[in-house]
Amino acid sequence: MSDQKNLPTVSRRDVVQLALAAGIVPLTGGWAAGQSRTEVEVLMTNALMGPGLREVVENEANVKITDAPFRTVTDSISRLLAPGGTTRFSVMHAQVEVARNPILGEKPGDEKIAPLDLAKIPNAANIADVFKDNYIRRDGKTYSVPGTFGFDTVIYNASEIPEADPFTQSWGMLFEDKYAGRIAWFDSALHMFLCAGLYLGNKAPEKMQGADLEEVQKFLVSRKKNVRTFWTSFAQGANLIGSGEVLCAYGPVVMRASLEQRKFPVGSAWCKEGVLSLVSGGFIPKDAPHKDLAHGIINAMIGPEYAKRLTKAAGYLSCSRYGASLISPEDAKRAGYGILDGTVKHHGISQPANFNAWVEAWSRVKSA
Amino acid sequence: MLLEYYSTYRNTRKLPFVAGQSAPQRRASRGGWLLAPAMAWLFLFTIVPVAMMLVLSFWTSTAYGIKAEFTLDNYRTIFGEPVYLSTFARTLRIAAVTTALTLVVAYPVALIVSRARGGWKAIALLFIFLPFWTSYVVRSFLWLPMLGRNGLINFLLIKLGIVTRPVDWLIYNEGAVYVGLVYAYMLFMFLPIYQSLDKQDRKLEEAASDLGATPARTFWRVILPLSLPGVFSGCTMVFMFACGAYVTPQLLGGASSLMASNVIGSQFQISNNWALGSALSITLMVIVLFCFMLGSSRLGLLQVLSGSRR
Repeated sequence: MSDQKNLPTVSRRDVVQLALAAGIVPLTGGWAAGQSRTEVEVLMTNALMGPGLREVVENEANVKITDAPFRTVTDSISRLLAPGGTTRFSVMHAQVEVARNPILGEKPGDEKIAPLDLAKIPNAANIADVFKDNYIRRDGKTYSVPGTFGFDTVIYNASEIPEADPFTQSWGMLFEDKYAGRIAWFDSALHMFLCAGLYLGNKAPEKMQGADLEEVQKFLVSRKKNVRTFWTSFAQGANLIGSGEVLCAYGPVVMRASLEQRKFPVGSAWCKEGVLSLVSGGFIPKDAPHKDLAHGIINAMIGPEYAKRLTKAAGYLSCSRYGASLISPEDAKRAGYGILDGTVKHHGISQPANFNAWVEAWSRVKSA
Repeated sequence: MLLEYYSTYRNTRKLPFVAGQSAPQRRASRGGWLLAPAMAWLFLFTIVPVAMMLVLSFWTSTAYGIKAEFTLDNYRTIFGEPVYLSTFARTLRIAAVTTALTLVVAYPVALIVSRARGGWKAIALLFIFLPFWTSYVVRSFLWLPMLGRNGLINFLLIKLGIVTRPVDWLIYNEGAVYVGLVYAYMLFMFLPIYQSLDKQDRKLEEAASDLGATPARTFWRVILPLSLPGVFSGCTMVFMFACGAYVTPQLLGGASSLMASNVIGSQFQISNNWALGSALSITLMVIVLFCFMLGSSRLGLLQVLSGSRR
């Protein structure tokens, strides 16, 4: 009893205070750590900063990311080229072959983006050799490093269209009568003319002009009767399939990933004419507010942890060597890493020189 | 209100300022300064953007962006390429049909509400305003789960045994665009008509009745003519808004619903051709302005905008 008397007395209030302190300290510590991070605004396909990916970048680069709503690559470039456009975003990520000319400008000195300090991007050493042409460089300076790649193909409702059907392995799904009235096209001159060109046997559809372009335009007009609607955003496209409104659609990998995350049975065609592949790279606008932190973000986006999570979270594939090696061979094959070793036929998306003619031809298709 | 003020201001400006000016005249002169914020607002948010767009429309677009080199090529493209002219024609047609349909829907509603009494009028007005408290885009999106293949209407049609398979033609065609636009712009037609009808002196109707006019004749000879300023005002607003419709045709129109704003949008967002996009915008603006001038020639600018007789 006497021993008990000598013990320090602990009141109920002490216990409550201790418990509160134990709970609050880590909470406030975490909150304070979050608050101490600099907020950095980025512009890229929003899926690249989706759940599971944003945390990796924020932790590795020690920043708080705010990602602006993404519309299209061209829209992103337009926002960069607009007056004052180089001051808002710290990092942008866009399709290299579409962005290269406008962001570099006509001649040295016209660049809208800042040269990168590769010493601050050590993960660049791990970019696969196959992407050596997808850097943006001028006069010995590197302005962009490849970060992610992906491909566009036909995606379809696998519960209604059998995956084993050879018909599903072609761009023809979007054009032939078999699924008439249940097809959605992408409202994009570039993508629709490229896939239609490939389907019609053109080996380099991005070079189409004049009669070639007109032939594809006539073909698209003749097949428009089978189309239910056009989609303009990834979410809209995924919803068209997910809601049962259409059975198949022009589909970038991010749409497939979105449907898979909803457990929707989605099939993805390995088109015999070749899927349309694209490489995206990170770059820093010339007058970006946080250039040092921006390097950290680009570095994190080609790091092993981001590469490992990328495909499952967003559908895209990593240009880093870690991309395929950190996931199972089955997952790598299904994701499309076969593009790298040649087992998946693909055709790189690039901007045609006479793009205005393509846009006008697409307007004619739409208004027909 | 602003227009009435401007009218007063303009009239007072005509008066020479003399020492013997009356007090009301001096007050009106001083009142001119009160217009300064509104004029500054108009200059900054109307004149400057339109002027910038006009200048851009004469610049040259290249693969590297836009260059400050004068050219008429953008306008040559618009008037030489049939797709742009046909898109403008389709836009005007859709806007005209939308205006007519909105009028047909809004007029009876405005008439009934204006004749309602006390609490019923307040309740009716509340229900008319209620959907407009949400954004235009949300109201356009709402038609997707209503009209879609697996939407509410198809669900009801199948449940009631009217059809066995979902009806595909409820959405993604021009008809769906009309549904979306009429719904979106209903309020802009309803309000000026309601205002015209509500202000009418009921004794005129009683007098017409006393003189032996049937209700239909009273409507055609008394109510309708007196509400015409509201009708014209509503039609003008709905027509102008419909000419610039972007979201509704994109969401509900499907494969054949291209309107001018969609073409303009694609120049900025897809082809990065700001010069041609600006030229298309200016052309659309001139066409709409021309239609507006035609419409206002009958009643005068102020009456069309304010929806009331002077």
